[in-house]
Parts: sequence; structure tokens; C-alpha cells
Amino acid sequence: MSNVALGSAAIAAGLGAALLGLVVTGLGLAGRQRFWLRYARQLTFGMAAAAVMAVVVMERALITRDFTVKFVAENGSSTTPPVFNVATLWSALEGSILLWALVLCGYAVAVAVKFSGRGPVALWGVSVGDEQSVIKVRGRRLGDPMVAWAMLVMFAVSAFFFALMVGPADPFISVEVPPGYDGPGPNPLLQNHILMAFHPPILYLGYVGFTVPFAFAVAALATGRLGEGWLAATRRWTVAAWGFLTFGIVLGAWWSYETLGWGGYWAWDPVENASFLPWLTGTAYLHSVMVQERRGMLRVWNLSLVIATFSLTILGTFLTRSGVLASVHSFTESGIGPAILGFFAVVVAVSLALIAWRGDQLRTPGRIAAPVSREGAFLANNALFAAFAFVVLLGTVFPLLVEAFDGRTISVGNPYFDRMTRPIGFALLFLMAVAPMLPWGGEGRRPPAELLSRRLLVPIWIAAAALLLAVAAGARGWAPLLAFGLGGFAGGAALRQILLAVRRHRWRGLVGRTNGGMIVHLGVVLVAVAFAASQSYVRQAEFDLEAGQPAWFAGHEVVYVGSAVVAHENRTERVAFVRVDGAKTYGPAIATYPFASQTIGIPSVRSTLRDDVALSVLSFPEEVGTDRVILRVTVQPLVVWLWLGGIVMALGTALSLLPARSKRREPAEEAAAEAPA
Amino acid sequence: MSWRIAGWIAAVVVAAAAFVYGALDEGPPKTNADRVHALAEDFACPVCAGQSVAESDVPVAREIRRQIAVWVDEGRSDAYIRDQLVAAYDVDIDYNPSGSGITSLVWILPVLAVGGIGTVVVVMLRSDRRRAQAEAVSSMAARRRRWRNAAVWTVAVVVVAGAAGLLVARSSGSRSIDGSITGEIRVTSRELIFEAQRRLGEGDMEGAIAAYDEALELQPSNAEALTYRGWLTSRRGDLDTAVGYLDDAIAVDPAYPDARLFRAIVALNQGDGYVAAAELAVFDSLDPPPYAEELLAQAGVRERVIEARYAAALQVVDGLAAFEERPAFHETALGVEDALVAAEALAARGDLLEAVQFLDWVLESRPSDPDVGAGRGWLLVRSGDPELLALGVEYLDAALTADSSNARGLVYRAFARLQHGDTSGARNDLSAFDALQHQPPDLVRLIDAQGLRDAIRAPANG
Amino acid sequence: MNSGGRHRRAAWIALPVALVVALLVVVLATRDSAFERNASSPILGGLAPPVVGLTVTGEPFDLDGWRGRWVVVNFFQSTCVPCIMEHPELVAFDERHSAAGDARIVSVVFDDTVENVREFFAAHGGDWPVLATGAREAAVAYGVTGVPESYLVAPSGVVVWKQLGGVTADGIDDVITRLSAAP
Repeated sequence: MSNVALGSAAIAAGLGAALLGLVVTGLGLAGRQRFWLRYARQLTFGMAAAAVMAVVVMERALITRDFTVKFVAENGSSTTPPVFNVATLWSALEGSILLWALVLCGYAVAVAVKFSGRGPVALWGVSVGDEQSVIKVRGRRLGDPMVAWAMLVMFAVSAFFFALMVGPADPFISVEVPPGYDGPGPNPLLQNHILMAFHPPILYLGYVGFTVPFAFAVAALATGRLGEGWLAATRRWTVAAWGFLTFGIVLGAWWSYETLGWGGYWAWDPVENASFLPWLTGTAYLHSVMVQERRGMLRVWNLSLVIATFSLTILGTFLTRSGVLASVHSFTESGIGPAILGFFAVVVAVSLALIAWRGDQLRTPGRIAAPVSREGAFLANNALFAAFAFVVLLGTVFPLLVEAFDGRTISVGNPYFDRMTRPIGFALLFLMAVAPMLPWGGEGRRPPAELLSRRLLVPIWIAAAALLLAVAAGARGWAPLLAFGLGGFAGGAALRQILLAVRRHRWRGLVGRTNGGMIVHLGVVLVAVAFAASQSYVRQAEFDLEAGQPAWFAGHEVVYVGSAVVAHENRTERVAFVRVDGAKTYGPAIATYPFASQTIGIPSVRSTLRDDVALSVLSFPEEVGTDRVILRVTVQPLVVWLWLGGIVMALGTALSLLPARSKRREPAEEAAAEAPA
Repeated sequence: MSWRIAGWIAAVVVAAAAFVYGALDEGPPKTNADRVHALAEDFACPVCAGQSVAESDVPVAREIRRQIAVWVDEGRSDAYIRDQLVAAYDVDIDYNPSGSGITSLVWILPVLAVGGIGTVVVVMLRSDRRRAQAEAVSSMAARRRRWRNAAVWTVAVVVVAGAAGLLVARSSGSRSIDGSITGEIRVTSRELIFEAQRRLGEGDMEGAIAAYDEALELQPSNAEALTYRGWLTSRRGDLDTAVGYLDDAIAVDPAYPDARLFRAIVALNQGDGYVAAAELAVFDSLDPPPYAEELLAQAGVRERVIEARYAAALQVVDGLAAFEERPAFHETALGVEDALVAAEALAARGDLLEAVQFLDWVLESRPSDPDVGAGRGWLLVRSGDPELLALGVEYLDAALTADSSNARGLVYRAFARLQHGDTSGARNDLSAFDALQHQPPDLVRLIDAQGLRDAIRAPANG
Repeated sequence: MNSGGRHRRAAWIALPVALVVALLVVVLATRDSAFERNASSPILGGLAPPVVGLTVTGEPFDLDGWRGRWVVVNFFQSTCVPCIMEHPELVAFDERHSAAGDARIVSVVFDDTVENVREFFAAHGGDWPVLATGAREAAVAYGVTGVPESYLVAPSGVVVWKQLGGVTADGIDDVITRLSAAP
């Protein structure tokens, strides 16, 4: 059986399973015939099997270079190296939708398995104020309407993505190619760095992961069980999705730093913004959710944040896949835009209608006792994240709005985002230092001021030390110094909490939500400080060097040694050998791919913990008798700490997913925590 | 306790001192390369999706980077560089949205949003504390008061945050505003001349003159402005002033056809056919643009120059007639060119015989001058009389025997042979003429006007 | 606890949010693809930016000296394939108008070396001025985004037409005819 037929069949089967799941759960919910719900689990398996099948078939087609599949004919090549051949799946639109569907099906299976076990139904025991009886269908929680509704949403979203692949983004289109045909391979930029193999799947794990909390949020609204049950059910899912998204974004920045050759990693490009927006709302949610758990308030807000996060992943997909916004990341135009925009509209409309409908039940039972308290700080944190998200969203879509209303085309870029997000970033760093030290309202035995002065004494000294160190190292300018000082403050606070927890609980002081969260904070501080330093003190210059000629720039010596032409299987490179600081020789190059119209620069970076020297070749001037190179040298301090910070954040997220205390004590602990204060 | 306070004070003092020192000290001076990089980051590469000029490696971005470097080295302001790039590539090259007009919303809305969100948070905190009282008193009056409070709050927040947003917009997107202060509107003499042309097109002569005067103030040696200023002056009747302007223009740029053309016309209006003819000759040698030729034809300059020259030539001939004994040609101040014109003038007056005799007289002094010989033949060829035609051809043959590559002789004989029906002979003469290095423009015009080439090419009709 | 106003508060908040999102969706749905938006140029209709400098043969050139004629300002690179393909059309256009002198061509080197350009013209013909020094100023002043790119300057000195990519002799003549006919 041909790959096209096999793949198409798999996708059709996946769509069938998703639609069937929709019908089955719908019937089960509408007709109160709960036994239908039993089949939901099997259907997720079927759906996932279909998605796995489709991906396997596509990979087989890619690996065997089956050019009768249009996707392979357009994106595959016999010369693509093996790793990138596998990664070719997500180098173009149809394949990336397929990957999305695969991840989504994986989450659907995980949800179905997780919530279909026997055992106690802890989910409902903790809700505040909502008296709901659990309808048991042979002891399975899938029979619970809440889980059923969530499954319904998961099936609906899956059905949409399978439908995309049946319709406008069909990855399995048959095509006739002449004998001896060889494809162009993926975009050269997507096949010259190993990070490309990891960045998209991890990012998708994050993006798609937010479907789970969204599904439960909708389920909570639909069932009217608006207590904290759905929060508890999805807490770890959300944290995991957030962790993947964070790591995915950092990997993306790393990739662009390593491959694009301009010494940058973040340019407020629409696609970067599209991934950053759900991160902002997701981060806001991770904090505000604690207020709801503790105080039972901010329910509408939390639901809205979850819904906004999911909607923003869809909107981001639209912005980047429809081609309305120009971006380095966007694939060329396709008919997929209207479908995704329609889906976004449906998601928002349904969610808003549900919120409007359930509005009366969403009133907050709890209250904030004191403004200077943990919940007060979380509130401020959420206000800042909301403002941050608004600034980024507005800046991203503003050119489109102006064009629609005024007919002019304008651009919004670096100057706007830098100026508008910087104060928000400072305020967030400050809160990061103060909030963990604040007691919950009415719980502290002493007044907050005294507590803070005691707990922040070490952090303020660390901040002072950071400032002194920065000034001594030559850092100037108020903005980066403020970032360093606040970074020291927040980092000191996080370190203090971690050290105290480790002293008290030994290694268990590193796990659990609170402690893991502090490690994430530490990672955020590293990223913030590295961001401020590298953005503020970047130096860049272009040099025209002859062989053997040195150049001095920003405290570094670069010597152009000579060049050589190196033929690879999929490209031809002309490498410039450049010795940096008299030590190692680096090889930035210009690569020519047989099917690409343009040459692609392959930069080379000398990294140290202190600063990076990024080298990229702009051109080799063709003049007889000379060996010259036009070399761009970018020197940026502390860049490595961005990636280290990202790794620390991912590590912290993973640690926060581990249970904080022994399992036996958890339910009791939680129940105690959830009891009205 | 007191130790802690002391610790805080010390830490804050240290931090503040370090911060203030680092914030006030400017550090190592920024190099031009740093400024180029910072500027390049603020402009979108026109062809690459989502990358700035600093980031992209495409040739356009590279060229713009280099041009920014040139401007920075020249000491141009950021505003100037921005204006230049926007003028060429449109506003969407500027990543910094303008702080005025509809785009200012991008600066104002976030500040409004922050104000709004902040207010909501504050109100939440306040209302939480007052919830108990508020719930106890739920009378209509209390509710109305709540509404009024809410309305007052909303208005206050919108006003304050809106004002703050406007400030942000003014300060943030203000590069273009700076631009209009420091950069001014670039008025160059080119633009003034353009403006003058526009006004002239609208028939506003005074306005055009004013614009040219302004241009001349900026750049007194602008040939174009001098020329047209002179031309407009002559149209107002002030020929002497006009001549001053036009002569200045010619001195500045001797190869400017418009100046030569207008100078010729003004000379004609002054009745000076010689100057007009001389300017016309220079004009013809300048490879003038087509519109100038059209203007020339419209004003009938060629005809008027010929008329004027004929008139002058006839005066000379009449002057000669006043002598009791006519002096020999070489004893007069006349040139061959003048003599030919005079003969043409006599012929045009109808005195063909007198014209031929006049040239005979010239030939007495210059027996072997091919031009005169050819001219004499040409007079006869055009008479229409078959006998005279034959004689004319003889003269032409003689002239060409003297100088086989005489342009006039060749062209005139081609016409004569064509009248005889000797197409191939005419063709030979014409191709000999075409082979000449220098082809007098009046002969070329004659060939074109009489359609000689077409006549030769046409099949001989029986 | 809930009064009538309280009941509908969620709805009252949801409504404006829905309106804003609906507006956003409408705007997004009606946008053209960024790849299709046509490249307009702000210099069209304005006075031609200066093209001043030295040609590849070392002679001074100034576009203003050609006022009164149609001028094709052609930006090119010797290694770009569309430029090579377009070149015979420019040669044809030049031959068509060289006698009458009513239209001329000036080429401007874009990101290229003088040697390459000399070889290019030696190989492909054409003997109009090719600006080398001052070429980058001209390219940036015209807002050139890639090569080949051509602009048509009317006898009045106004830029009247822009072509991204290769031109044809007939194409330019059509534009000239059309614009000459217009009052």
C-alpha cells in the first residue's frame, strides 16, 4: 500500500475516531446514558493510534524519499542528513499540523488514562461551596460529567486538527514526479542546526498542553462545578505544559542565535510574540491559581486566563500560518488561515458565552484581607502580566489594525517593545523578590513590614553586591543597572527560600510546587540579567579582512586565517577560518544549497561564561589575487546565561512537578489547605 | 532590631551609590559603529519578513546599513536618517511607530490598560474591605452612590491614564517630531525650480518668476533658473534684462540647449538675425531634447532666422549695389556663408538671374570654392526649367570635381539627378553623403523635409 | 447575596470583550497575505531623488542634466540572473530611442564591483552611463529593495513609474505612451 493511501487512511481514521468520540461523549452527557462514556477512552486510543500511524507513514516516506507524496516532494531531499530528514516533518505547514495532532492525541490519551482509573475520586472532595455528587459508572471517573465534558472538548479540538489535514493542510497528497526527481529539501535555515530537531516538538508539547486545562475550564463552566476541583485536576498538566513552552521558547531563541548570524535571539518577531503571549497568560495563571486555591477567589479571572492562553495559542498559529504577518518563521501562504481563524472565533465565542451564562455562579466567596499580603502581590503580578500580554498583543496586531482603519502600512518593532515592556519587567522582578516573603493575608504573626525587613535583608545585600559588581565590571546606564540590582534582589530572595527549604527538608526542599517555583524564579533572574546585559552592551562591527589580517574589537582580537571550500552532502560551504583571541580557530561559513536561491550564512560563536564572540561571514569579495572576507563580529556579554537560565527554569518546572511531601500525607494536607480560612 | 535597620540603611546606601554612579557616568564613549548598530535595529529590512536592517543579511539590508554608516560618519542626526529612509521606503521601514495620529494609540492604549487594570485591583482591594458594610446597606441610594463612584473613578482613570499615555506617545514616538524641528523641510533649488515649472503650467507667471528668484538666491549659478528667469522676463517685454539672464546662463552652462534656444528667440525679437543664427547653430550641435525642438518649431525660429538673415543679406547686396564699381568679393568683409545666404535671399525674392550673377561674382575671387559652385548649381536646379537644370547639374559636377566629398554638392546633385529620373545616381550621391564624417544639420533637415530618401527608395515609375 | 446587577456582571464584562475579539477577527479575516501586499513607493509622483556620481568609466554623471527626457533609472547587479535576462530589453529600448534622444537609460550598480560591471557590459552590450560612485546613495534614496528594479523619470523630473523585477522595452514604451497621452 502506498504511503499516500496509508497516510490518508490514517488521518481519515483519526478524524472518524475524533468525531465518534464527540458523538459518544455528547450522547453520554445529553442522554444521561453514562455507559456511552466508557467508549471515550478506547476512542482516544484509536485516535492516537491513527495519528501515530500517520506520523510513522510520513517519516517512512521521508526516510525512503517517497517523492510520490507531495509533502516529501516539496520538502524532502535525498541529500538531507538523517536527523534533519526526520525533522523535515515540522519544517513545513502540513507536517507541523500533523505533529500538532500527534501531540494533541497524546494528551487526550493521557487525560483519558489518568481520569479513568478506579480509586477514590479526590477530584470532587475538595471543591469549596459546590455540592456535587459523583455519578459512578462502574467506579470509573470517566463517568463524571466534568471529565466527560473535558473529553468532549479534547475530541472537538482533535477533530478540528484532523479536519484541517483532510482539508486545507492535507499532508498526504499524491503527486507525479519525473523519474530521477529529487526534492529541494527543507528550508536551509531549518537544516543546519541540531536544535531544530528539538525546538518545535518541545514548543508544541507546551502549546498543545494548554488544551488540557482549557478542556477542564470549559467542563467546569458547562457543568457549573466552578469550585477548585478543576484546578486541582489540571494543576500538574498546566505546569508541565508551561515548562515545555518555556523550554521551547528558550530553545527557539538559542536556535536563532546559533543560526541566523546577527547575534540576536529575540527580535519581537510576530512568531516569537505568538509563542510569548500564551506564556505570559499561562504564567499569570500559575500564580493567580494559588490565590483561588487558598482564598477561593478570582474564579472568573482564572477561567479567563486559561481560556485566553489556549485562544492565544490558536491565534498565534493563525498569525504565523496564514501569512497576514510577515515573519521569518512563517511558512508561505496556505488556505489554512480562514479555518484557524474560524476556530479561534468559535473558541472565544463559546468560552465567553459560557462565562456570561455562568456569571452568577462565579461570584467569589473569599476575599483579600490585606493589600500587603501574598494574595495582594499575586494580584499585582497578574495585573502586570495582563498588561505585558496586552502590550505584546497590541504591538503584534497593531500594523494590521492601522492598515484596516487607515490604509497605511506601518511597522511596530524593537523600540516600541523595548520601551513598553521594560518598566513591566522591572516591576515583575521587584515582585519576584517581595512576593515569596509575604505572608498570606491575616496569617502572619507579625506585621508584614517587619517580616519583610527581616526576610529581605540578605536579598537587599545581594542586590547591593550585584550593583557594585556590575559597576566595577564597567556596566553603565540606568536601565541595565536597575535590571542587575532587581535581579540580585529577586535572585537573593529565591536563593534564600531554597536554602531555607533545603536546610529544613534536605533534598525534599528542592521539590514540590513552592520550592520548584523558587528554582524557576532563579532561572528567570538569570535570563533577565543576561537579557539586560546582552541587549544593553552588544557591540557589532563589520570588518573587511585580508588573509592574515587581524582586527581588534570590543576587547577581542580576531584574525582571518584563510578560507576553504568544503562540500557536504546537501550543501557547499565556503568556510572562513577565524582565530579568536589567539586561541581556537572558528569557522563561520557561507553555504550554498542546490535549491535555495540565496546563500545561507552559517555563523560560528565562541562562547564563554563572560561573553560571546559571534562571527558571521557576509561575503567573500571576489577579486583576483586576494583572499578577503567581510566578517561581522558581534560581542555580547553573558549570552550563555540565557540558555543556562532556560535550563534552570525547565529543571525547576520538573522539580515542582514532583510531590512535595510523602504521598500518604498529601490528600489530608490538601484538604486542610483548601478548607475555608 | 536596630542592627537590622542599620543593615538596611547600609545596603540601600551602597546600592544607591553604585546605581547613581553607574547611571550618571557615561562610560566609554559610543563609537559610530555602535550608533549604526543601534539605528539599524530600529528599521525594518524592507524585504525580509520580521527582521531588522541590523539582523538581515540580504543585500538591501547591507546597503542600508552601509548608508546609515555613511550618514553617521557625516554626523547626521537620527531624525535626519529616519526621514531619509522613510522618504525612500515609506513609514513601514520605521519600527518606531509615530507618536502622532492614529499610530499614537499603540503608545496610549497600553498606559490606559495599565491604569485600568491597576484601578480594578485597587477597587477590588477596597471593596473587599468594605464588602461587609456594602452588603448591609443595599438600599437604592447606596447602589446609586456606588454607580456614581464607579463612574467618577472610570472618568478619572481614563483622563489621568490617557494624559500619561499621550506623554508616553509624545516622548517615545517623537523622532519624527524632532525631525521637523531640526531637519526642516528640505527646500532645494531643484524643488523650487520644480515649483516654478508647476506654476508656469498653471499660467501663474509672476509666481513662477518669484520661485525662480528664490532658487537663484539659494544657488545664483543655476543655469536652469537663470534661463527660465530670463525667458519669463523676455515674455514680459524686458528684452535687455532677459539677455543678461540668458547670457549668464550660457556662461554657466554653455551646453544647456534651453538657454541657447531662448537666447535665439530673444535675439530675433531684438531683430538681431546674426546672433539668432549663431545661437541656433550651437543649439543644433547640442543634441537638444525633443521638447526643445518642438518649442523651436512652434516659435517658427528657423523660418524667422532665415528671414532675418535674408533681410540682412539683402541689405548687404543693396549696399554693394551702391558702389560705383563693385569691389571684388575678397575685398569685402563677406564670408562664403554670407554670400550663399544672400544668393538664396535674392532667389527667394524672385531675382534668380541676379542670384546666379552674384555667385558668379563670388567665384571670380574664389574660382574653385566647391560650396559656392554647388550653391550656384542648386539655384539653377530649383528653377524648374529643364535647360537651367542641365546647366545646374554641370555646375554641380564641376563643384564635385573640385572636391568630390563636398557635402552640399553631393546632396544638391542627388536632388538634381532624381529630377532627371536618375535614381541610382541620386542614391550614389546620397550614400557618399552618408559616408561623410561631418554632415551639416541643415542638409540633413533638407533631406528629411523633401523626403529624398523615400523618393530614392520608391520604385521608379514609368 | 446576589442582587440583579450582580447577576449580569459577567455578561456585561463578556460583551465588550466579545465585541473587541469580533472586531479583531474581522480585521484579521479581511487582511491580505503579507506576501501579496504590493510594494508601493513613496517616491512615485515626487521629484526624482538625485543620481549623481561617477560612472564606471570615471565620468561624472548627474540625472538633472537629462531633464526634458524620459529617463529609465535601472538598478542592477552583474550576477543576478533576472538582470542578465532583462538586459537585452534595455539594449533594445536604448537603440529605439538613441536616435530621437527622447528617452535614455542610466544604470546604477547595486552591491557589485566595478570590474564585474565592466565585464557585464562588455559581454552583454549597451553603452549608456553606469553609475558606480554614489550608487549606494542613489539606491537607498530610491528605496531599492532588490535587483533588478527600474524607475521611469518623466521629462519634468518626476518619478512616474516603478518596476520590481525585469523590464521590457515595449513595457516602458507603453508607459511612456500612456503618460504622454495623459494631459
